[in-house]
Amino acid sequence: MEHDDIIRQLRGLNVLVLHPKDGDAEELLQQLNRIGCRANAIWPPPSCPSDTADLTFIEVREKPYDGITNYLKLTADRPTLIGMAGYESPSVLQNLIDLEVDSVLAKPVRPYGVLSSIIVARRNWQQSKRNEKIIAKLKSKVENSHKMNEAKLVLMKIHDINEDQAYRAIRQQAMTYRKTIAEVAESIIESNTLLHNFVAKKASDDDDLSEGP
Amino acid sequence: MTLTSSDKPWTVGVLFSQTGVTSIIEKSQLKGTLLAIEEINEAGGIEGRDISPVILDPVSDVKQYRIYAEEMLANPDLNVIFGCYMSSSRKEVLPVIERQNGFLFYPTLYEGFEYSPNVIYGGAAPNQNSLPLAIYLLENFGSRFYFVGSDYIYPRESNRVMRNIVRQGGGKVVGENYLSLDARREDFEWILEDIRRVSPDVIFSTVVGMGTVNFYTAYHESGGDGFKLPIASLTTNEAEVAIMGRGAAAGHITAAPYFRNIETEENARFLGKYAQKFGSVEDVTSCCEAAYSQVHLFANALRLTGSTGADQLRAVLRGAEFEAPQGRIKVDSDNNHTYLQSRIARLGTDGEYRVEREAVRAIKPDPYLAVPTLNDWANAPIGTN
Repeated sequence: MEHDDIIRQLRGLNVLVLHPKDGDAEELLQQLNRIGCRANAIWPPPSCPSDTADLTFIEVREKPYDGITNYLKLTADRPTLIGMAGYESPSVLQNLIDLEVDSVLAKPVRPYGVLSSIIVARRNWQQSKRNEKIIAKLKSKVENSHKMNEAKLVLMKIHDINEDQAYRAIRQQAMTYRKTIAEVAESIIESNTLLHNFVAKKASDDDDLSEGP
Repeated sequence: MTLTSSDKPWTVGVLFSQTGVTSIIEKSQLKGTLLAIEEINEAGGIEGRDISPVILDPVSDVKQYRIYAEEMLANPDLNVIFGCYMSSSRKEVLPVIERQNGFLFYPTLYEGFEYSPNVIYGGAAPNQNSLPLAIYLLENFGSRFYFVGSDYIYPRESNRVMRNIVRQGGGKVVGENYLSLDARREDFEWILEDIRRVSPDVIFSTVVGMGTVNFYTAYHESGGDGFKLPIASLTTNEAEVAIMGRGAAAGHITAAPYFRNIETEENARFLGKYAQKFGSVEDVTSCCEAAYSQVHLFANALRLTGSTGADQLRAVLRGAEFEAPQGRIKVDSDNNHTYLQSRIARLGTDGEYRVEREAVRAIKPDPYLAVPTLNDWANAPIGTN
């Protein structure tokens, strides 16, 4: 299904070629045209990216080219990247790693292989986008569960209740004030910290700021 | 490759199987090639030099195509090959051709998704035959398709394209089966049984070669009737119909750029000469016509370049036109495929194809059309006869 979509969307791709105007760039543009992609070649790379491409071919040499690194830095949404490399020397290979390309097109460019490199790059790019989303989700889940535990501990200590009661108390608050459980947990932790600071400053004061469930 | 001696012929390779599973169709391509060469030589050759074919028979064995292509190109006077039918044989020959910067004329319909600067593709790409055929079938027979094919690249890729079109048209593929290239008549029995069980609206066949004759004959013998439930195909042709007989052929449908009985001046002349040379026009097919036309495209190019070098030929072949038996054709200037006519014909009880629908002009080849959309349908200039 995933593959199907990548192939289906091929012709809708906005392709940018950041490569000096030579035989390789020419051959690539012609093949992109045969495939039916909308392709544009610009050299040197523009200093301010105008409309972002879905897929960008970049020249990769022994030395990183500032124009390309700057262009990529200024591009907010990282496009799918395909490195065009004419050498397989360690410095070129290192640049392929550093530029985080999704796949490689070997030079001299031949019509064969262009499609495959696009498909593999799109797949890798989509996968890494998907992974980023999943990681962000998992991160917030872990954070929330940390907060929840801490908040439960606070309530258990103050009210001398068990974990289950503490959990139900937090949930009840969340429902009453139409907040998420994480938000309630957060405010419990915050107020506890405040309270603690307050108590630490005026150790003798008697306070009754905590609310019942 | 420029030859110095003024009376030395232009040597070209001709690589079609004369024996084996795909020999029916490839023999017709061989004859089309030889007829065109004879015409050119009779008219005085190119720059006073004849075209001289080196003919080898790869016996429908895929590996043999590569071996013979290497052998041919080892001859320093030979740089151009006419040949190949099955995609698998073309894929064998391609690396050899590209490495030596040779040139291949490939006169066969295929599944698309290829471009080599060293090949001129003379047969239909899916947008020129699958697309119009699918529209015609959906309009006239219904939406439930049953796929039967030979088991190699072309049928599988061709069915992938067909499936996408059928789905977009609201249709459904209700069965899909593949048999080996050398399938015998009895090997089709279980498929025919399944077809009776599923009861589709149309059968789409990508069975090629001798299997075609066996499939249609088995269908006929099991009580199948082309006028009730037709088999539609992109490859079934006059040569195969002649072998299976009119009874087995009647009612079935083929989409192709050319049919033997179309009425153009060029076709009348072509058939006249063909009959004169080979005694009969019974085996003339669209692939034979493509082979014939490609030799003429080559000869016209050679007249301009005076050389069989790939770079020189490519430069003048791009955009080249030819008044072919099917109508005017043109080599696309970007993708080396050919603008072709598009026709859909049905076989009558007399075993003759009757064109039911045709494009009003040659259709531009679009070899990289992965998923045809409704727009692509609308762009196909189709007229009804």
